[in-house]
Amino acid sequence: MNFRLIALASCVALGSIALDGKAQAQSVDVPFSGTVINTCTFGAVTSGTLTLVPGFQAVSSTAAGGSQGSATVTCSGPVATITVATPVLSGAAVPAFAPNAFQSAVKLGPLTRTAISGATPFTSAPWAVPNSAPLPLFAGVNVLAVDMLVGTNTAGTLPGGTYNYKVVLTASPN
Amino acid sequence: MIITTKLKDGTRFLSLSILSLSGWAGMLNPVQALSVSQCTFTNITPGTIVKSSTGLKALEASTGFFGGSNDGITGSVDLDCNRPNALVSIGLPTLNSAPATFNPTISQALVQDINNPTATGTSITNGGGPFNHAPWAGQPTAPFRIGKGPQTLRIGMIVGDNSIGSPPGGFYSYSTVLTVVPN
Repeated sequence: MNFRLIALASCVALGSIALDGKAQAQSVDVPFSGTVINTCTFGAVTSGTLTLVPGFQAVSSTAAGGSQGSATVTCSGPVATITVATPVLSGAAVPAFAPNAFQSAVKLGPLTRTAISGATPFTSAPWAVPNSAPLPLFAGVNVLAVDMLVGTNTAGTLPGGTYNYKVVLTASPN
Repeated sequence: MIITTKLKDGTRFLSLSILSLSGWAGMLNPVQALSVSQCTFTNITPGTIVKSSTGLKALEASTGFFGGSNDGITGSVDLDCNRPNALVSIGLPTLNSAPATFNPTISQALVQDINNPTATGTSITNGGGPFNHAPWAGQPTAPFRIGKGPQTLRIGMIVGDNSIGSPPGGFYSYSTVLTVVPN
């Protein structure tokens, strides 16, 4: 008697299992990955002004009446650096002006980096302590000040005209 | 288990007999036993996220979505349901690893039935988003229904915020959970 009922109950259980196929939610993970390289982007650029270096055949942003240029550079990460190149003509040359000193400087806070070419460069600030090593940038916005000088480190008078030069800054992200 | 108890109880015996009949009916009806709704995921293809070409401080994989900025490589997965109208939904991207300085305010995942591109579903972080550009803006968050048989789903994701900039350099890894509820 007991065996019959056990068999019967087993069928009940199996039948119930066969009927108990509820729909189950299924899930799957889809992975995503990628690598981002740090970038630096230049923003606003403000032109500087060159004025005569008194007593010399030279113009500079550091002379009285001149003004620094500036540029902002925004970096997505630290360990980026910036370098500065010597000034180059950005317009028509002034006739009879034959400079042999080309000097520029970029400043970020208390740090200054310089680029100097020419046989007899000026040694006034900010070129008193030349340092051409790359300048470290911060992650985020960096406001850079730029100075330049171009001319001849000898006494004399500059020819009249408009002097147009530019200084190239190069940011190198990590 | 019930049958091992007091078998001399006539009422309980009668009750047991009814249950056994229904049990047999189930065993003898194989069609009913085989009609369980089920869906199966196969062929998972990982995606690749890259810095968004929109200039936003975000990483995204959106290639192939209509109107998208077509950045990165979207992931995909095949889905086969034995009944129509299964419900597909997608969870938020889950962070596995990212540079410590990356603090996204919005994360969003998007799934699309390739055979029926208007069928999409998205998930968006609470309190932020969605992103304003295609294909992330204006997507329905409700699960969508998918047809019977083999289908392919396209999966995209984006993390970051709606401001201009760049995510910090480094390696990023996320995963998105796709869920289907058979009908």
